[in-house]
Amino acid sequence: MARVLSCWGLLLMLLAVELVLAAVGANWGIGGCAGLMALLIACGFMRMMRAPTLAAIFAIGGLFWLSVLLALGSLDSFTRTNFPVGDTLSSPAPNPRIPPDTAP
Amino acid sequence: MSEHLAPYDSPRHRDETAIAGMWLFLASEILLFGGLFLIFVVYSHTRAAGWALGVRHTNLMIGGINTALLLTSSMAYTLGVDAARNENARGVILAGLSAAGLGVTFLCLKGWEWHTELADHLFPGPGFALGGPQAGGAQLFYSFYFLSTALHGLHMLVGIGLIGWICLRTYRGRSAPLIAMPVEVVGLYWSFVDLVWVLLFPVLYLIGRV
Repeated sequence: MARVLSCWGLLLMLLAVELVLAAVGANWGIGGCAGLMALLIACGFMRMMRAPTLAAIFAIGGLFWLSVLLALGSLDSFTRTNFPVGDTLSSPAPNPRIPPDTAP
Repeated sequence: MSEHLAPYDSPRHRDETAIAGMWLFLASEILLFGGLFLIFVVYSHTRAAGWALGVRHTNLMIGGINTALLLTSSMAYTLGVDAARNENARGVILAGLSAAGLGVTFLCLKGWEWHTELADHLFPGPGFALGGPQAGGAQLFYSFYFLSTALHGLHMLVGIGLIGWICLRTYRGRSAPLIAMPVEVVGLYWSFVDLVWVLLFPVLYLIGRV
């Protein structure tokens, strides 16, 4: 019981830290806090460290495929250099490869 | 005994299979929610200003209270899992009812938040309240917001139903020895729903707010 309660106390403390970091705009710190909270839940509430080997393999497999999904999925928009991704979504941006239409 | 346990070799083998089965399901859930987080990664980068405009319009007070509620609910249910291991049926029912009650409160607050946002015309589409050059990004944010909170809410409903089933099952079988494994497996699911919210909360309410 003490382990669960201390884990809960830590989680609430990290939530408070997140709110403080949000007030000063420390986005990377917020991400770090969220990661720590997720880890605390996985280890403290879900008992990840005591899980059977097969369960640990499934959990690690899920995280592996998640990293593949995020890495390959965001690769295009993070590395594209010929035209910005965002500006073309709602308003058509001029394509530099096509000369502007100057016909009367 | 071996016939009763078939196809498992021992009670330990049966319990480990149940836990591993739930983790396999949760691994598939990681990928389901992973698609949502991919939306966040891409559009909070490519439409940063509009995305942040959307974040600034979410209700931080309700989001913060809901996060604390869900953390407490997960803690309460984990205490119920400990009670199940000690064959304390009363403890399981008390913890389950507390966890489910906090979950229902979470959903009520989320419903109220949705109600105010819909009244403020923050649902993406014609008549969207936020205008200007960043309106497209803000609409993308609110598409993500409504989709992710609806998907998470659906998981909450399933979790509350499962906890209700655990409480009912424990109450009906209180004269027989308590089997802890179903309580533990549902606990894994409930904590996972909590974990997803812990990651969604900063994305929806905090990152880009200032």
